[in-house]
Amino acid sequence: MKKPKQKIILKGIPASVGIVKGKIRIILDPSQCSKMKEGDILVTEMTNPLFTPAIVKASGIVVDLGGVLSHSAVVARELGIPAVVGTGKATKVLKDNMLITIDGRKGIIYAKTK
Amino acid sequence: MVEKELSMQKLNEQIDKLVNIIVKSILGAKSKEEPSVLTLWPLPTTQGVLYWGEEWAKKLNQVLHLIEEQGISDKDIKEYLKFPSKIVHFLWRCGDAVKNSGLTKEEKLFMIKKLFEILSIFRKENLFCENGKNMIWDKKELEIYEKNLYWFSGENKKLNQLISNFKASLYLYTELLYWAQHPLGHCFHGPYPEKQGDLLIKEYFDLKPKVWPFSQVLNFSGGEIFEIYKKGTAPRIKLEFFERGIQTTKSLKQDLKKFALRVDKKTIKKAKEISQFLENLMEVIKKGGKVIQSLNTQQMIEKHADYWFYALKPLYDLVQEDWHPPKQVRDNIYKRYEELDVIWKEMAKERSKMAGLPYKEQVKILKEEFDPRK
Repeated sequence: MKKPKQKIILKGIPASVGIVKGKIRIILDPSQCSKMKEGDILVTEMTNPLFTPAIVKASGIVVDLGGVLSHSAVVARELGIPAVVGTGKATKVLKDNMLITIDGRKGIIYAKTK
Repeated sequence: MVEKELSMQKLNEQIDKLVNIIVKSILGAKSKEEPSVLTLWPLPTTQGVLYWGEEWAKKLNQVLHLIEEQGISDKDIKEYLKFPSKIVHFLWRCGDAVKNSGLTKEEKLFMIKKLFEILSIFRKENLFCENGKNMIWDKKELEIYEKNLYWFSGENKKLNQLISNFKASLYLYTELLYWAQHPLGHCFHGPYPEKQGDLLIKEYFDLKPKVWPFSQVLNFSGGEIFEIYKKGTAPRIKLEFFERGIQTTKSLKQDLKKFALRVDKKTIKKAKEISQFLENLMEVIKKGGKVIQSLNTQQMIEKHADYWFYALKPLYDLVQEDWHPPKQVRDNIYKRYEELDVIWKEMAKERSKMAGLPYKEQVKILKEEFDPRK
């Protein structure tokens, strides 16, 4: 069977390995954490402890800031979920409810194309 | 004379390595384009240090002298400190608070030397965790754990998820309490080669510091998580000097064979108990988050100062003296705020200019900034 084509929409720093598909949930303020549903991919500028309720529901994390030793990266590794950090513009490029695949080994975010 | 020169040479080598690690840590926490240390939640450490660093350095100097004068034994130091995490972060502060304290060069070198001596009580020969290992337990200590634990299967998906959530929440909680210096509340050590696999130990402590009244409703003040990974996983479990967590980007979750927990020294035998601790933890994080969000910059700096002085408590307890910050710290925060804020803004401006510079250039600037000998 032919593999579906995937379009690269963003690149960042690989921070925690694994590949996951999911729906994007952009959370810019901790007060929006209740928007997050189990299995969503958390997209934010940079995680901090105020995002905990959203982080523990996430199947993956994508953030604008940070490097491989940043807190978002270490937390993702504790959870064992893929993460891409230091994308620079994830919160601007990605949109809520978009279906994406993140590859935490390569640091790439894909969108499915027809 | 020769002995003195050799000791100085050794200290200089240690300081070189320390400065290298500080710089690597700062740069590793950010992407190339970001200005370093300016994006730390909720307050850049450098900003806080400007207000309390000098007094803190003097207080650290005082207690290190008292320890030396009173001839406190390594055994007592180990018993009071329990973990090397605080000491390594005191060493980081030698790159800013101590460096800019106005103490003489001799005093600064005395402090760094003493801190490395204390660190060696825990880490023996492997002070810098150069092989990705942080081996602080000996055979005897490992034997005690083997006798008193109840093991849960890491291969059970639900249990694996539960412990992952608990681990991440604990980690985030220490970040809530101690911000970028979260290892003031945790120590990850190992991996120890065991019969059953590679053992990694994550110890959490000081989870209810009086500095944070919201923490008092947490149902426990510390705990240990023991993780046995499949044999051969050890090279992928990378720990580092400042104990800030696992540094490898590789996944470990699927290699977790089993895990055990002790909370406030009590062995946990039911998954339901872990769920209850997790639930309580989430509640406290929520409350604590609201408290921190309500603080203004001055109040934040005051908290920052408070927990950094609180970190000195085990050393001060050893010599039976008071660890609290002197009045000057509050005066700096509330009476000299504007004056010091001008300096901070200037520093932040300089830092911003660093963003986007070639990596080597950033390393050079930061090395200069954090080398306590310069």
